[in-house]
Amino acid sequence: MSNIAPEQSELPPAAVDPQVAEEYDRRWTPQKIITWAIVALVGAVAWSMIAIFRGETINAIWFVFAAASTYLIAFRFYSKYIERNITKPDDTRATPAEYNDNGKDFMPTDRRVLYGHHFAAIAGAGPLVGPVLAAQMGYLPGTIWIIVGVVLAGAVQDYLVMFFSMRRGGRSLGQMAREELGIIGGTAALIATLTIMIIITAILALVVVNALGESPWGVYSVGLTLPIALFMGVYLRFIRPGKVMEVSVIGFALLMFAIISGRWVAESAWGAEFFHLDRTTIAWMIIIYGFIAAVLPVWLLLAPRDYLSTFMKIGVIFLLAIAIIVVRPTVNFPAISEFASRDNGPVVPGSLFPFLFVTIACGALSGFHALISSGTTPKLVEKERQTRFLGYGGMLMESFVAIMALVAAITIDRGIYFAMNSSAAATGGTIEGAAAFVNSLGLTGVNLTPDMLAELARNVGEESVVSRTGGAPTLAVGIATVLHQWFGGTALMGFWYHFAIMFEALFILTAVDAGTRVARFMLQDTIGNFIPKFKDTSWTLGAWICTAIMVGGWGYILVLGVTDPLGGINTFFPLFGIANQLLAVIALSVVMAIIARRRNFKHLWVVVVPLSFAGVVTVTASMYKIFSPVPAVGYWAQNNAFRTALDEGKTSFGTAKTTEAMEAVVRNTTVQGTLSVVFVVLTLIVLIASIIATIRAARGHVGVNTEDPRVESRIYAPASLFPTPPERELEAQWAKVPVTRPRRHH
Amino acid sequence: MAGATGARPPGLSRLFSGGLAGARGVVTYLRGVMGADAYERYCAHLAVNHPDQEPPTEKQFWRDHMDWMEKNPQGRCC
Repeated sequence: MSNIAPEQSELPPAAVDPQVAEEYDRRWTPQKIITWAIVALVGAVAWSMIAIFRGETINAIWFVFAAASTYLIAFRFYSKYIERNITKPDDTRATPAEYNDNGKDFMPTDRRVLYGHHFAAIAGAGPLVGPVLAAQMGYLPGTIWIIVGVVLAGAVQDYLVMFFSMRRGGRSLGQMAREELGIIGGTAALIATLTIMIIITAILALVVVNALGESPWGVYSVGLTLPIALFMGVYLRFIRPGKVMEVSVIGFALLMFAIISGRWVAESAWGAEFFHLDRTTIAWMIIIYGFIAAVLPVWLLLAPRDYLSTFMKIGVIFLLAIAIIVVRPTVNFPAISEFASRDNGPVVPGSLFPFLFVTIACGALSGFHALISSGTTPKLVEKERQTRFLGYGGMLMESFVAIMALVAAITIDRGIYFAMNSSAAATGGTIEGAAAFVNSLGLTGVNLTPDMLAELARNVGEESVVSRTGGAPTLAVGIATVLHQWFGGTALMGFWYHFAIMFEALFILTAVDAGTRVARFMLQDTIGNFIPKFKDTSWTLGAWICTAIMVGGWGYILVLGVTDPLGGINTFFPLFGIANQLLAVIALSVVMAIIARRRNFKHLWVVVVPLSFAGVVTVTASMYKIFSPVPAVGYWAQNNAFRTALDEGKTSFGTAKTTEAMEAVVRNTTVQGTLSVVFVVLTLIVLIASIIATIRAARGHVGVNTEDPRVESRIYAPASLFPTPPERELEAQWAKVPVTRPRRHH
Repeated sequence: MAGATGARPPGLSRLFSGGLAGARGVVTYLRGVMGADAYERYCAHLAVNHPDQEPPTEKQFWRDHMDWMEKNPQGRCC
């Protein structure tokens, strides 16, 4: 290192002088004041329109304004507050991307590119599904939770996890949990992570199965993504290595062809017959697919599918945002519905607290992000200050996706919404049954006729839209409703519907196979502690065994969900949210322990607030699921009711019409109830371990510093999307430095 | 069509070249986000930090890249 010192002095500074930066931040020019006053004013008007205005209908554009202005204010003021008081980034310190630069997984990456990269990794089908289901309670509770939740909880978690992981060379959440929470807390975190991955994969897969069941068009076009991906894989490997954009464009064109030709196939007699699959068959196909995808070489299936998925992700978000702004649809839902104060909603049962907060996880607070924010992205961050833009800002964008999904869902007719999202057990699966059921709910302004359902099904090219639970089909109808007004009219509604189904399926299947692979490596690592051979990840048999265990885990729950006599999604979805929030509790616990070790108790509330909220939500929701005497809410109450009925010799009970169905309910509720118990126990262990670590730190026991040693930075880049004047000045100085200068530190 | 291009008023041609630069920027950005520029970036990295090392061929680089991904799975969120 001795030879660096003189050379270092020739370079411009690696950071804007903190005092200059601070001065610029605090100087309120008239221009700045006017800009922020306008943002605040737009936000205030938009929020009043959403929350207070009670006219006939309101326009969906207000949701976009309310969200965008709140995000801007939170990003400018709250995330800066966190930066100034908690993370205290130091740009003179090299990031792992700089000091470990290997030109591959460690590499300083342009912040704007990395933002897109990070966003593509964190956002998927989650923010598209939860808000749709939560619309049952009206749009206001969901909107407030998505926007306020992301500002105070979700984005805070993502930002802090990313920053602390970056300070630790890009260590994973699991490793940080072991270091900060000790062996018990760390082990609980590991078990929780594995269980959560199983649950999350299973329920995402269930969403796909529900969207594709009895839908020849959907099965055909989503099925075609497999040969398309294989073709892309072979093309990239043998024909044109590395031409990723080229092959993605070809893949995208083929994908469009798959959607368009789906109509011809579904309308032909042979196609309708061949691709008409029931949900159990599709579930098994996805299980088999999941196993094969996880053991096949990545270049053949996983990598090309991921390219396609990323390509679609960015395109779809833009398309949706533009469409909502251009079409400005009107909202057909009340602000707060009848079900907000009841616990018997047909979409997801349970009262607003805590179940709104577990139904919408992704978009407001998503624990799963902690696995991405630690590990991959921190190894690519160029400068410490950029983590605010990447972590906090990246999560804001996901929240915006959730708002757009909510908007798309609440622009469809409310009667149709309930007909699509009530379980087949309630609607009987027929348009007449669905209309009768929905009208019997006594919802104001809802008058559903069977004709409306038949017409919608015809327009979107499906056999039926009744009881298409899971959120994805509803969102697809919402998106088709918005997009066909902009482009194509009723004739293209079927295309837009299946376009939406296609990208949701693509996101989910990518999450399923990537998740299975990640979980397999985690499992191998865990078993490897007892049987060392398992640590060798290139050992085929071990890889296959661990893959089979993971696929078996989520596959079992998937099959239970698909065959559930009570509906499936409505009973399993709460577990998805609880699992995701539980992971957030773990991530925030780790973060709290780290901040306490930095002896920063004054600002600990920034973490304590979201942590206690997520903790209370997961524990309360689990307690309801375990102890509630209402069968629709409590798993064990349901279990007892069916058990008693079986003991009394009944052959049908509630919506279960046969003894087998009753036994299935007993089995499913046992699994669900047990998982709830496991989750709540693990949460409490991690939480207690974190509180102990925090109290020990308060008493002066700081322990070892888990950060990587400081290395002087020798590169520079601005912190946020737009450089400030002082940043631009420094950038200009660096632009004069010749690029060929060796940057290595060792 | 060459004549038509030449006859274009200067404002329009500036708009055209501006649009072209914008489109090129979008493609460059997308390549970065998708990781399509991994090979060029690796070669640039070698040129700066290990000028003595011969860069791998594009085909070989992507093979190594995929082998690496095989052992380092990246999570995709829900």
